[in-house]
Amino acid sequence: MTIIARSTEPVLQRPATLTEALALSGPGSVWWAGGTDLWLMIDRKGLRPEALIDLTHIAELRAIQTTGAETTLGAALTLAELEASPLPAVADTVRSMCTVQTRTLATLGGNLCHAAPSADLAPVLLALGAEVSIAGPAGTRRIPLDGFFTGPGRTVLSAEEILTAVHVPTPQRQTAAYTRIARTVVDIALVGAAASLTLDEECHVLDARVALCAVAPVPLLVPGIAEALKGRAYDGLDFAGCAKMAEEACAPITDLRASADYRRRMAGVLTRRALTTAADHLRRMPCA
Amino acid sequence: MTISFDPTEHDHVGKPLPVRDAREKVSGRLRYANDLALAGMVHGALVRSPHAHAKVLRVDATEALALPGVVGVLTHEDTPRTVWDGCWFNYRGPALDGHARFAGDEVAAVAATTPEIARAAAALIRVEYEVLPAVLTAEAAGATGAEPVRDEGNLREPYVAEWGDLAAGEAEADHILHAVIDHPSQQMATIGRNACLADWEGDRVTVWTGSQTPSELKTGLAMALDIPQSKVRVQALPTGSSFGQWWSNNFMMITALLARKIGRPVKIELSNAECFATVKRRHKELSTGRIGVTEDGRITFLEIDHVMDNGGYGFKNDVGFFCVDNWGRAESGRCTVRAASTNLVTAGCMRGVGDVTLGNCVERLCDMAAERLGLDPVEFRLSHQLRTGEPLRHIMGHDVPEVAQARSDSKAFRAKVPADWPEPFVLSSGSTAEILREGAAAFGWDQRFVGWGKPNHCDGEIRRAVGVGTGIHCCGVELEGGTAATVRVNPDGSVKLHASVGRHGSGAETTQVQVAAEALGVTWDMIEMETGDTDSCPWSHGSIASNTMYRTGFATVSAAKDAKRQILEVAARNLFNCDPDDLDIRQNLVHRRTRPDNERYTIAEVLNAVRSDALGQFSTVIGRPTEAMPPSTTFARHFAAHFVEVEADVGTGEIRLLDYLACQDSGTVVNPHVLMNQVIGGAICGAGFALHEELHFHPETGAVMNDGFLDYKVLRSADFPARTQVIFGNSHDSVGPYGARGAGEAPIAAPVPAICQAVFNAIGCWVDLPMTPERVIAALDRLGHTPH
Repeated sequence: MTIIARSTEPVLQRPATLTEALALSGPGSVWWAGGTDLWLMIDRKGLRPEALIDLTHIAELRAIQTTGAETTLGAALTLAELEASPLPAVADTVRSMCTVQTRTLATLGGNLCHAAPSADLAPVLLALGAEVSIAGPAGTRRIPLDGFFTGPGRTVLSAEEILTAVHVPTPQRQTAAYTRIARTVVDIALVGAAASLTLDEECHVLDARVALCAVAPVPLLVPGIAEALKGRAYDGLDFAGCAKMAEEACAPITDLRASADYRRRMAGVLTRRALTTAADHLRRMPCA
Repeated sequence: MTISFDPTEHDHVGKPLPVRDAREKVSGRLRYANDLALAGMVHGALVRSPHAHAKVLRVDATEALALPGVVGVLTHEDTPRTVWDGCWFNYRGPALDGHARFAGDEVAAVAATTPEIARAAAALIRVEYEVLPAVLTAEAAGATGAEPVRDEGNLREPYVAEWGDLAAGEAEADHILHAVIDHPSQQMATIGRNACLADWEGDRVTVWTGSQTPSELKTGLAMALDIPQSKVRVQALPTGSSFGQWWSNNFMMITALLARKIGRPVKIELSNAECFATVKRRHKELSTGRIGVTEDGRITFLEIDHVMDNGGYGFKNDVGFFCVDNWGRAESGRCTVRAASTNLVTAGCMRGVGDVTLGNCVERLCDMAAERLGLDPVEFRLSHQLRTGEPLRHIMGHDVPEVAQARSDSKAFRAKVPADWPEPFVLSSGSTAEILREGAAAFGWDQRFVGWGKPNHCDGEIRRAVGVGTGIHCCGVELEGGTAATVRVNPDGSVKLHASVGRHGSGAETTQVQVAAEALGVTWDMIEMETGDTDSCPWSHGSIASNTMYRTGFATVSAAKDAKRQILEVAARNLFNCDPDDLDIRQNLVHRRTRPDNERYTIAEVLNAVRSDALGQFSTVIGRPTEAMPPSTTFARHFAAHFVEVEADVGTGEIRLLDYLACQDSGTVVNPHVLMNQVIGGAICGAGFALHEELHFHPETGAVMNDGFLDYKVLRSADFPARTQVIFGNSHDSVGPYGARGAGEAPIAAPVPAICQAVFNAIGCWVDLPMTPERVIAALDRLGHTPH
């Protein structure tokens, strides 16, 4: 995004299709996907776009589709709409975020593309093994969400590209949970951790993932969790080792909100709790 | 909710009448200073020092003045050298004097045709500084050779209060306990932003701004502008929330100076960050204390050394000794308050000044003593706290300018009192006793408190426990001159009440009308109130120190009674041909006391009857206060007792509030809705101070680093228990209007000790303030084991 020193109001454009949107993109234009973060950048951080291209009226970006293997969430779905998403862990996560007013405007794509290290939807989608679809002048591509974030406020997207959808695999016998620490009810996460557990037909762990936010420059998938838990009976799992792996994987900073030491320690505590909650959910699920 | 007043006796007092401006507020039609504009008005922006401490060597405005749309620039060279004082030394300094005393201090101002051009021009003003050593803590301010922040020096004379025989108290104690509590600086964190608009006509100025203290602002402007008070008119507007932020502030002085210099109306509107970082805040206060108790539960002595920082322009030397008075049966003691100037943003009276700091330290010491002795904290309070008629060790008003010298000479705590004043000073009414008992019963304290340092419920890493805390605050400041009001009754019988009060959410515009209607005998819809125009409202302190109902209300009732007397005299002479004492007014009708339904006239009929009177001067009645606050040896305080249950997560350190009961003794409840709002608002603000609120200052520049709501976290309704309940006490004051006293500040005092105590009971140790998750974890680490 270019920052241009201008005091005139940007032009608002509202395409109805993805093709129209891509055609409108040009120097000085930025994508508008709810504006709850973008407006602060304009108001407080000196961002001076010439044009705002509003993506929230494009029908194909606002659909939820479920096939046997995965659920696809349109990137322009609002957080409020995701509260009713068929993915319980995503719905729970969204309900812990910001305020009713902000959830009514903010979108899934906006939360991911703003790429705040503390973005709450990132860890839960990473833990669910999500992939994202990207459309641009050169066509479309689909990549894992792990690798999408490249730094605070940065992603693999070029200025002309649009995140169009998030694809979440929905295997049998999978549960997930997200847990966060915040100062007050309305706050960004000081630390957040999401976990997913997938069982095989014998009720042994087939796959497991833990992802963290606000403890590194990007939302982080903790390596080695699946290997540590794979093949073990889900009942009576000890997550102390996973907590340790989370503490080791993170690279937190100290700021006004919390110290690096606290964040690292909480990455472990929250990892244990997210895995425990996911295991509790499994207990309520009929197993083969 | 227990309402303490028999509503059948009164038409207005005790009634939950709706807040007068509620409809305007919720529909967005209430006008704040930010909403105002005048023809020909230009916009001002402020140039602020980036340095904590610096002398201005040169201001070069060439580039700024060359920018199209820029109208003029104000620097210290255009500014009178006069010092202006804010009420009770909340501010003392010149408007601009080329000496920057904190990062963010104003050094110049610029006016332009739009706010954007003004801000751009402010960035183009080149200021050359000589950077001075910065004094960023009270400790550094008192060090030998410290750079002087102010001409008067960095340290105020200590404020010392002593009672009893401290040495004997020490010798007699079976247990002596110590506490050191570092109280961080709280920000008023007002949701709204303020603006100031100034307009000169000749040598007279009118200033529109949000202020709790219209009269004090007029006084301050006259000092800063070096003109007579008669040439200053303040039109104070609603502030939105204020909590002490918007009294008289230096940006208001600069707005008036800039308008005078350029000869056009100027409006300066502060940004949210400016409101957070450049205006005012609560002092940073370090309390060190000791308490001595005997095995059988007597407090033999209480000793506190309290250090506070005033920032750049604050000049107070006390934060409210009444906090110590609440433990009235401590047999001996000494309380020393030391104040220092620092190169941090100005500190001053925030809601509950002293209560959440000095008061918290007293409550902590007493809790530590009760814990050592194994005594119940409710019972310990009932045994030791002040009751009606018991002596006060201290009265307010020692830090007003005219007594400062006397104080510094004597260091005695009754310096303000005339030599022939009768002894002793006693508490006029109320106490914590009734509300503690009633609250403990309603809360189920005896079942839920299971002993010091013991949770009443454990589940995994969750611990739940209860706590109780008490608070006291003054009801305005004693012996400081009369707050006044006028009541004008128009020929049609409608009434205008003029009383200078703040409109900052405390409901004064509603409750003053209620007591005026009661005293005059008219229905409240007949009365309109002017609160902010200093040309029509007589002098008052404004709405500070919880004084509005007690002191302004006293004047309002007295003025209404005076108006009523005049109406009855006219009616008696012209219509009833009887003694005025035989007449009364109720529901807008004048009638005989003995036969109220027989012969009745409206007030309009009474006043119109006067028109045929040869004299005719009564067609508008003006009522004035005919009595001052009685020179009495009794003084009023108001009280709070709060009960809380918390849940502590020993894994993450998070503290959640589960259940809350706030009990309040404010004497007669004039409006239960308004009082409940005051009580719950205070509880939320106090809980925020206990759990999260803390200004962070840059280690080198002292600049406020968390200058917005992203990283300065205040509690919202959702952070507070849905089960919050309020109980009102049943006392009545002998002086306050219809038995009412103050209300607004004790409710912020009680939550801090209550929540600290509940956390102690949950996890077994005291936690530094604010009790953030990280500090709770650090306290548990120091404890060395997972509790229980």
